Amino acid sequence: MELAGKTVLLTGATGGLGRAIARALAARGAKLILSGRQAEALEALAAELPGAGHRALAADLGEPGAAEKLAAEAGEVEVLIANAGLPASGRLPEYSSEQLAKALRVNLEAPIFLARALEPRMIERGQGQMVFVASLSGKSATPLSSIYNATKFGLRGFALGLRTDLGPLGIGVSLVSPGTIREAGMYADSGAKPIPGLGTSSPQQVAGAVVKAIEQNKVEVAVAPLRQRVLAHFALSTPGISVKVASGGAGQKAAASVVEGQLHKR
Amino acid sequence: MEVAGKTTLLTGATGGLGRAIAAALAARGAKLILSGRQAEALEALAAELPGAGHRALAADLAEEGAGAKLVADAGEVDVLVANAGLPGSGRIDEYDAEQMARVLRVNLEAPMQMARVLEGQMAARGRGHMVFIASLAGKSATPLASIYAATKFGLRGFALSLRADLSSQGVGVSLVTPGFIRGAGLLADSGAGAPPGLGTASPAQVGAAVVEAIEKDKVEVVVAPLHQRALGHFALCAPSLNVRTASGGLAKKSAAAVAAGQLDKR
Repeated sequence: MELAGKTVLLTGATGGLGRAIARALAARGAKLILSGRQAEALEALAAELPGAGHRALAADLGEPGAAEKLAAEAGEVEVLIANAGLPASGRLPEYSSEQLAKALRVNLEAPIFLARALEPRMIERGQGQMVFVASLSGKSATPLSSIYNATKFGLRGFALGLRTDLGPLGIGVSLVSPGTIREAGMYADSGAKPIPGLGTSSPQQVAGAVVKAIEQNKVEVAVAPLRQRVLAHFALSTPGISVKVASGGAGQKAAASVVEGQLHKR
Repeated sequence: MEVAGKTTLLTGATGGLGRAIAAALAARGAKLILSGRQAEALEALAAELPGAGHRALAADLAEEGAGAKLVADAGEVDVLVANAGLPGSGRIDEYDAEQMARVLRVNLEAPMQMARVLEGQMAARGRGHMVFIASLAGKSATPLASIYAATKFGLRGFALSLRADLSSQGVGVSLVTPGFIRGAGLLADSGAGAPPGLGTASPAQVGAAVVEAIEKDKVEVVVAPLHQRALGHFALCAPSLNVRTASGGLAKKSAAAVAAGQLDKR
């Protein structure tokens, strides 16, 4: 699907990856509905993006019912980019019942509810595209990440299943799966150093992947150096071995330094 | 971990697979806490199982907070078998928000909330085991099953990561992953046959797989004939090709028959 002139709803728009995605789409001529929790930051972003007709719609997808409300307020949407996400890192008992529910809501339920709300109109028009920003953590389980892994594995399963239902109706469904991203996004924000030897990608590459997913209706675009993609595929196809390796000291240590920097985002 | 003498909390105990799992565990000498929605059916099952000390604990895991409450009511638990699940079949726009939230809660959030509460007590004792009943639908996305895929992919990611967190603490985490099951369970109850040529497994095999997972601390035990396991692995590793195949007429037809027979379970 061509992006020029299309109305695109983007969640998590003021996060590091969100901003990069917003810029890339605006540069292609999309009209953006920017969503996130901070109304002022959204308005500022809407004003600074190239092109015209962008608007801001604040929503906290951690609240029950917020996704349906956002979809209703957005009105006609031709492209959905479900990008908002919480890191949900750390050991499970460190989470309260409500924190756990909130992580599931933002990362998994809200994208599903947005898709459900937007699907009927897309089917009527026989045109539309949904992009779910997943993660290599949707393929590869790692320590201190059980809630995040649940949501990102889940999002992959949902999107792949949805594509079988909607593809024949003219609606595209894509996954964009970033690995370790430098400079912006939840990994960079944690302040942890990237794992040596695995490489990183840039927020601009994630944005490029979103554009590619929409324009070429890709099933999944992974955004990571070859080594990370190979490891993730290995983890996906041989989880027994992968979990054993990831349980070792180096895996635990790397995970712990990320968790430390993400405590304030629960 | 030996099953004999262990207090085992089993959810979805009066479903077809639940009964087979309960029978297998009781035959090995486990003391069962049987949970499900129907108090009378649970009491009857507790009375008819071999061995002594079984009890019934009714809970509707679709209700908010029910997972954590069930674990609190159960008291000291050595083994958790999270088996309860809703089919979640059909297209997402056929679901209202409440129905969708129920599937997500029963299939994914409740097992996570139970594990959250149990992890602390098991780690403190340095002993315990958690078994999550997933599905080949947690590896392979199919038509009219996007919500189910979201929950079952999610449960796999969750369990694999949790295993990495708990293996050093003496607590085991396993997945038991059934394919098409004959005679009882979600597919058999729908009245639709399994797709031709793929074979089926029996509920008793699922029961035996749960025992094997606990006693040998397996990462994942798949309960399906070889060709289904091969297809599931293919779908996992080559989702694009799989999604294309699954979008075809034959897969759609067989999925539609299953969804039609599961309308009463939304």
